Amino acid sequence: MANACKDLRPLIQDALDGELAEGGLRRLEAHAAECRSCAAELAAGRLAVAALAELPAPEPGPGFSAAVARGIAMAEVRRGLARVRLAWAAVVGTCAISALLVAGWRVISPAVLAGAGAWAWDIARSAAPLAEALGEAALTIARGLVPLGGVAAKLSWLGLGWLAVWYALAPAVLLLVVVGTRTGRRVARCPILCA
Amino acid sequence: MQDLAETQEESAIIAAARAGDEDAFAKIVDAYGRRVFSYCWRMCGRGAEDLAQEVFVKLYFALGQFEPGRALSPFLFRIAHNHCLDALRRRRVPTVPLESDSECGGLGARIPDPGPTPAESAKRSEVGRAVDKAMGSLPPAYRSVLVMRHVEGLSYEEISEALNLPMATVKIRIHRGREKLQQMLRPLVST
Repeated sequence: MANACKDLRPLIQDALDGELAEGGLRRLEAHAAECRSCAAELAAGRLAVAALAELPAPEPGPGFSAAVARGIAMAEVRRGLARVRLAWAAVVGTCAISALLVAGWRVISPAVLAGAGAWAWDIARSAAPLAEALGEAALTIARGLVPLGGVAAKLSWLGLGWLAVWYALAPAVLLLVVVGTRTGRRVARCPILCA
Repeated sequence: MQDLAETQEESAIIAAARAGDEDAFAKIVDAYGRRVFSYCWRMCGRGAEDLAQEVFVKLYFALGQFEPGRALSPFLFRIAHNHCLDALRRRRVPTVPLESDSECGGLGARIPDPGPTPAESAKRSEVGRAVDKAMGSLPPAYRSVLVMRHVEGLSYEEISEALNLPMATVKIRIHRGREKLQQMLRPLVST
């Protein structure tokens, strides 16, 4: 019975939706006939659906449509006023910004431009010695590096030379070792010498 | 108030309303006013009439975004749902049972009699009160789908479109909301 409840109880909601196939509905009702708990669940569901459908429908008051029309008229007036306010705000804002720009250009700009030019010139002038000092330092370092570079270059040429000599002589030395060893062995096996 | 059939007639009325025809828009208000008011009432309780009016004002200005040829109800319920959620957030309205609302200006008096209310329907009214109370205590996410589905009769597709949620989520919410209602109604079933 417990298994049947577990299987069939989820079908109650489908039955209340009217989406349960006839076979499923028959199984559910057969089970409900035997199971008090599922029967109560199904009955409560049907009662809830029926009661919801039969809830008294409240009616709006008699002046409802007229009130809606008044509401629309008032909303249109409010919207119109809002648009007018927005337009005025745009006009006033544009005028204020334009006036500020013109005033700024006419009153402030010469002094500001002169000040900015002097400031840039000062920066350039104060930066020039620093740039010169940095250039000198770089030149000194470069000069100091030149002899080192020469030594390094010489050392590298010397190293290369030694390597070339070594690789050129190595086969000759190896050949000399091999030939010397074989000759020594032959001499050692010579009958005259062995006698 | 008569429901507009979701047909070419509705499309024509919506097209006229979009073009600025006030009479056409008034027809839409007449056709959907009760449903929108009912939805706002179920979602928020007090102030539902003002909310419903504001929903239609929003609809009027949003009609330009409405795709012609589609059903109006999901579009309208989306506006109503969002507006109700805003109102709940703004006012921090607690989820109270509707029957306990005493500040609605005699709204209860305007609720039409659902039918014969003598002794025969005592049980039914008891269930109705229980459902009202249970609905009021449900979270808005469950309440909205249950109202759309079982009170307003929207299809799953329409609810999915109205709430901008996948269909599976809508189904899960409806199932869970209904299960909560069932739990609250079980004592009534066993008696």
